[in-house]
Amino acid sequence: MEDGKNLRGGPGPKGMLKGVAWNMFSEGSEQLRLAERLAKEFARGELERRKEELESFPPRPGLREVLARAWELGFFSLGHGEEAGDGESLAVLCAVLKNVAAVDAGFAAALFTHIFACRILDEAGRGKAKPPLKPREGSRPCLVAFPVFDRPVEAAKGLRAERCGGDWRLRGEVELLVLGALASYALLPAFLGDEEMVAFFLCPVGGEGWRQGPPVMGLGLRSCPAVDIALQDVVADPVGELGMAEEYFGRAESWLSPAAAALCLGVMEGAWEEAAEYARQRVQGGREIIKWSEVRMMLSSMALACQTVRMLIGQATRELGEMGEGFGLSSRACLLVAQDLVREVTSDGIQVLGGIGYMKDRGQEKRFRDGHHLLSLLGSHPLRRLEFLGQLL
Amino acid sequence: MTREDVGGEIWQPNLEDMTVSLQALGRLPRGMVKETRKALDHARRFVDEVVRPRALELDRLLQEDPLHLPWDLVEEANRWGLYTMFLPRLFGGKGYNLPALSYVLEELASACTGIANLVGVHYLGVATLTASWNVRLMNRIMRETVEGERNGRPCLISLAITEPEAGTDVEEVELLKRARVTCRAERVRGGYVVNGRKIFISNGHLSTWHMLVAYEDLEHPEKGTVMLAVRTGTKGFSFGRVEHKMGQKACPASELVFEDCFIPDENVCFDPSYLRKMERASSYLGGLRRDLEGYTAQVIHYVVSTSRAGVGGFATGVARGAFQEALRFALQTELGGRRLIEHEWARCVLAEMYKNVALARLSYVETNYANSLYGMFRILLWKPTYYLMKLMPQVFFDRVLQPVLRWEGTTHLFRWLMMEGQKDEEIQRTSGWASLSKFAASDFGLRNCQLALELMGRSGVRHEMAVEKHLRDSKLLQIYEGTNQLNRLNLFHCLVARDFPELRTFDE
Ligand SMILES: Cc1cc2nc3c(=O)[nH]c(=O)nc-3n(C[C@H](O)[C@H](O)[C@H](O)COP(=O)(O)OP(=O)(O)OC[C@H]3O[C@@H](n4cnc5c(N)ncnc54)[C@H](O)[C@@H]3O)c2cc1C
Repeated sequence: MEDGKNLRGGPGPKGMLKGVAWNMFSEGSEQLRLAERLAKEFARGELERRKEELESFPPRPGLREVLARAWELGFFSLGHGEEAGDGESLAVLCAVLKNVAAVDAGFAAALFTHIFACRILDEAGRGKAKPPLKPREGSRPCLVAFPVFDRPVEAAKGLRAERCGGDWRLRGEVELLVLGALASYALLPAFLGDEEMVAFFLCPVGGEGWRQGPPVMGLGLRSCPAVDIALQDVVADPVGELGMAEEYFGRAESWLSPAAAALCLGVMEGAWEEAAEYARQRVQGGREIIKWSEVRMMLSSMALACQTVRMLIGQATRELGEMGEGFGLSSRACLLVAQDLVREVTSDGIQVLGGIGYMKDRGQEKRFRDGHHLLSLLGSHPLRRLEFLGQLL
Repeated sequence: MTREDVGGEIWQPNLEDMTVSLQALGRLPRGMVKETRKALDHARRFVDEVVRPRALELDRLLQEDPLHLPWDLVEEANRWGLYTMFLPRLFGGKGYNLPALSYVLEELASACTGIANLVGVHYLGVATLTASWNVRLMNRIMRETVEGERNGRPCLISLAITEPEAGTDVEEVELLKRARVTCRAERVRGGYVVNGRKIFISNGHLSTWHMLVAYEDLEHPEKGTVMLAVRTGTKGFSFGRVEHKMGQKACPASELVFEDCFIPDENVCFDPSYLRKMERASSYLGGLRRDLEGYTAQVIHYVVSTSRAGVGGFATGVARGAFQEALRFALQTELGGRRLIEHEWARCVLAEMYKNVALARLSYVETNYANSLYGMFRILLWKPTYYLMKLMPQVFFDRVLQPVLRWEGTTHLFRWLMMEGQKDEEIQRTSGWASLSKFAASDFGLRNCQLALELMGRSGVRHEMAVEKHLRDSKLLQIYEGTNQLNRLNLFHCLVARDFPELRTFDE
């Protein structure tokens, strides 16, 4: 990796991409190529090398080092902040997430979680002032934990915010707070007093009244650890306007769904590549299995699914850039479809390899687990399907 | 192109294939019903008392320490009599009817497919041993399992056929011809010397006996298939690595290594010289006149017709386990201000899952009817033998019949009855249905886990909710006992292509 180059300090995304179609797979975009290259090198250099460590449960200290490296490279600053207002920066984020996810979807999900939380803070900042985020310990990554596998109302079910004097205090429980054990802050949705209104609150992680369980063992995404938390009168700052949590979440969702789909795509492409490579090598029935048309059919379905998601992401990013009517529809559709397809592709990915695909020695079993875990990113899949219809009607 | 241009005739499915369960009406002993209930009852208690309380904890332990071997569970299953339950009384077992095994495996797998395999794979070994119809060896090895139950030292049986370079290829004789097998059994005075490796052998490290399939002639494995019974501890035989699998962790997948391993004649289940004798005898006595390849294929079909029904049982179990967890979750949790179960779409998802379980079950039930009328179970479920086995005092089998069971002539007789007594279309019917059950049920199993995960959202991915484990477990069902792709081809081969002799199924 070139010294001193990163996605924040390097040439700004906007400058590099002016006048270039920012479909993530378009040719000729320097910034995209830089992002892609950085992400690939990072994935190969940091993630691939520490694969075993990152897959272990409970998470090992090495994860912090890798997070710090990604922070240095500016990956956590993508998709939000002042520069991230258009489709160009989204395309860069998609490219990074896809390439990171091709090696470790868990790490890509950790990136996504922080970015999504920050995007909500951005959205809220457009209304009322958002609380500032300051690194709590020198230059270490200042991550934001967020329950990224839930809709705000679902995540807030166990949490109430009460006003005490001039402060807001949070009391209750939140399940599966992603990055909870690694972050400096947590962005949490909570119901307000006795009302049926949900607002986001930002609070430091680990302060007084904050209790957190051990890392939750889950299906996949091991390098994106989550914890359950219990809060007892934890002081927290409201984010934006009270009662607007769903609105902020929805806007961030519209904006970042293609990025989440790109994350799925990274997993799918990884599965496809390994399957195609193996099918060229493995001989059964007197020939390379890629020559059996049944195997070719499986590979073809996988490739078709990848191509479909690639096209959907391209379309969604274009539409988001235009911010036209139906803003967010394509982007949500694109994620819903990607989440559906990633399951099929990763399952076929194992199938093409046969028994060896089921073993830890290869990447396919991890992709299968990660791919299925991703189904609930941003909340229950069926619920989001129904909401999608709601948006349409 | 019009329909007329296409020409040809409309193919009709074979009536016998379509009506297997109907044909079974009245032909199978009624006692099976009560006995199956009893077996299920026993399995349910085992699940409640042993499997459910330990399944998740064991899975978690194995994620941290993949080399751990769950001896305690094997010993528990042994104490509960699960390893002898389906062995015929003739050989000292409890003699439950074999179709009930699939129900029992469903029951166990509904809580943990890995633990279900600790039991089910033993019967895969038993089925392989049985398919050789070597009565003397069956009697010896099965009685050792019975003895193991008495003395608390479990004696399990595994099947070792898969090799590093030959997985799908060893599941089907047509493919075996082209396989790159390397496990060689060389004929020497008084037995065979084996060299080579077998991989992915379920329960390998936990088993006392291994039904090993090796080849006299590596160039023509289909003509020189040898089945040997290898006991753990035999000189020249050792265990290699234990695989680090995604799921079904309770059941280790082992590598078996053979280095100049001598197997005496008394442990040879069958070999080509015996099959050649059968070939000659069949031709002389006007039998079915199968050739060596035909007999080898028949043995493979005998094994997979029963073992794939077993996978049908596992898969139904995993589909059901996912359904049960999803139902409980839907009853207990709220979504969008209402209990999940009160959403119409959620009810439809649950109905879909129920359907998947029911169809998966029907598939193994039908397969077992086929096995009972035309396959391996036939001899034991013929009413006179069934009731004889039930009514005779055990001492008759344990003492009086022993010399008969050890007599070489008994094996010849059994082989003649079972190999010559099974027509080609009967092989096709049992094997075709078994493949159908294997791939249909395992596809349903995986699908149900995906649906449960969908329904449960972020809760579904948590280990303690059990569904993510069911999902990991279910994927393997689409791979072992022949991949689902191979099984689709076998179904086509057995139930369709036989009407089109010009088709070569395992080629294109
Ligand atoms: C955990 C586990 C436990 C097992 N337990 C046992 C056991 O107890 N005993 C035992 O002997 N074996 C066991 N097996 C082996 C199992 O039966 C094989 O894995 C299975 O038959 C597939 O073989 P393979 O893994 O070599 O895949 P391959 O044969 O290499 O197949 C790879 C891919 O190619 C496809 N393919 C191959 N040939 C063809 C063809 N002709 N036409 C179309 N597609 C084709 C397959 O469908 C698959 O998609 C076990 C395997 C696993 C993973």
